[in-house]
Amino acid sequence: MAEMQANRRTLWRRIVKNRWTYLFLLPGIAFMILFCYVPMYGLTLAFKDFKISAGILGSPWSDPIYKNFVTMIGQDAFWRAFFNTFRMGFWYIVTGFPAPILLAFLLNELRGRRYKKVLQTVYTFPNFLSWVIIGGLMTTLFSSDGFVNMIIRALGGEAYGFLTDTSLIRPMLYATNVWKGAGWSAILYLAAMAGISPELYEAAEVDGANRFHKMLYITWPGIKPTAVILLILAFGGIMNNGFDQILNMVNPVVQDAAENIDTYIYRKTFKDKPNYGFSTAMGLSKSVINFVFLLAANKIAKLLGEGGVM
Amino acid sequence: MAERKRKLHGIEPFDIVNVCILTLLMLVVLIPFYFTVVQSFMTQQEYIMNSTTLWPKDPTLGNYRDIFVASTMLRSFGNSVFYTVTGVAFSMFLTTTLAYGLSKKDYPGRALFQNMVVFTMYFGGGLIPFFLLIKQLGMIGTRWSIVIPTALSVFNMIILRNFFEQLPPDLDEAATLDGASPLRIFWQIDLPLVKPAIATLVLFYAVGRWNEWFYASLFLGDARLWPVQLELRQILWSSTSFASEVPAEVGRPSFSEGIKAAAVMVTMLPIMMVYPFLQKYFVKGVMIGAIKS
Repeated sequence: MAEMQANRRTLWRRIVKNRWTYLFLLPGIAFMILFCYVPMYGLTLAFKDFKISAGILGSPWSDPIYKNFVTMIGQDAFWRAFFNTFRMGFWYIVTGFPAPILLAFLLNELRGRRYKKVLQTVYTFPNFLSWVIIGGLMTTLFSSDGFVNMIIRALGGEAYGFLTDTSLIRPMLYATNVWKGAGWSAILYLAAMAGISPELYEAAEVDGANRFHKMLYITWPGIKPTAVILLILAFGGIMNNGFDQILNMVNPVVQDAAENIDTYIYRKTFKDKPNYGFSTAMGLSKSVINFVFLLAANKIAKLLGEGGVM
Repeated sequence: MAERKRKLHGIEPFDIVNVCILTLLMLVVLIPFYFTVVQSFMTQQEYIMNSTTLWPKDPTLGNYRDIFVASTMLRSFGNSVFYTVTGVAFSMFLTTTLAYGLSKKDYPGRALFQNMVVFTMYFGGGLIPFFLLIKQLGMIGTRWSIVIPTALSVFNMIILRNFFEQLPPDLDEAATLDGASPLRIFWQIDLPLVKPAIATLVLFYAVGRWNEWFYASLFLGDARLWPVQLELRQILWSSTSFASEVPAEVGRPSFSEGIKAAAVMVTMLPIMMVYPFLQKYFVKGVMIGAIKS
């Protein structure tokens, strides 16, 4: 009893001693509780019939409790968006993951330092533009009166609707995603390459290794840990690709071909007549699956000895 | 002899091919920009003639005039400056204080706070509960809905926390012995020591703020409060041609595709102006982030 009291007293003393630390934590933690944790509580909406007048707290539980999920499972459009999320996510990774590695290899082999700098500035620039702007740029280029079609016509071909072809819109998304991000992601690999000891290359040269041997047996092993961790993280975030991009590049004609869960929830909620309970049910389903993916990715990274991210 | 000569110049066929590929890739990056510039200086007559144009025969500033006459681009530009400046200031306040607090060791509840913060990187309430919260807070339709709710990037905060964690602890102890208050130590000693990280985070936050359009489209019905990206989006996507609202100059019809291109250029301009000069700070930032996380 006396011991517990003593413990409590030392705990209290430690808290008082660190009072400034808590003061520093206060704004950030309060912010996170309000804007991250309160919305998590709001997920209960998935099990309610939302009434605007009653708010989240006051809205009645739905009957049966999983009603919104039944509605969700019964919708073909939901399943289409669901599977499309994984299909598109997979292709986002297949195209977006190797591109920066290849680019980094080429840049690393380039001799002129100054030219390398110019190239890097150009390659990384698009990453800092919004998808609104890139949507505008790509429309200029690929619309039916755009410049690509101008060149096609000049060469005697027929104008083609690149942005209105349901089978072409997804590849267009992957390509522009690479166009925007590859240069920036390459920097991570270039940093890893810069960290490789020059002695390794010198030793290899003495042994008669040519440039490709060195790339394959020194450079690649040097960046492999970075590549592995980025690949795992990419799979962890497979459901989170493309939302902003799709909203800015996909027009109504081809909308169904490039619909994922995020855009589907968005359109259902903010373009149609909103059913917040139903939308939240979809959002919760996504969050849970996404969480599992992230945990799995993290676990695998740890098992491979790459440290994980958590 | 031949061997020595090759070493001297050191240029192999691969080098030439490599330079060609990389230059080609640079063109691939630049071409969309180039043609947008071309289109922004074009007249409608030239555009509808569908001739092959690599540079307008009769370049005009009319499209740029039209966006500034008819649209509210200038106003939204000003809004974006406001959102960026206040937003970055608020973001940095939250990020530095939280990162600093979390970097301290040995206080009760440390693990709880750390986990609480990291958990939000893995799981969140999603769009609808977030939207309803903002609504319930009465922020919808106010400038604060853009500045406040999305201010903290946990990823950025963790980068900064790692920086603070690496400061030598004796520094604080010495300053405390000299009678400096914790607030002063934070402001005058520790914060200046992590200046490079601060600079990078300011840049990242600023770019994020400048590019923001999504939450503005959800929260702001009143176009007078719109940031420039949302205004641009409206010009690019509006079904009713924006050009029809432009009071025509004598002898020159307004040209919607040209106006769109000009609007893209104007929105992009600030980032284009500063990026080449600040690029190295961005790069430094991503390297720091990569190494520390």
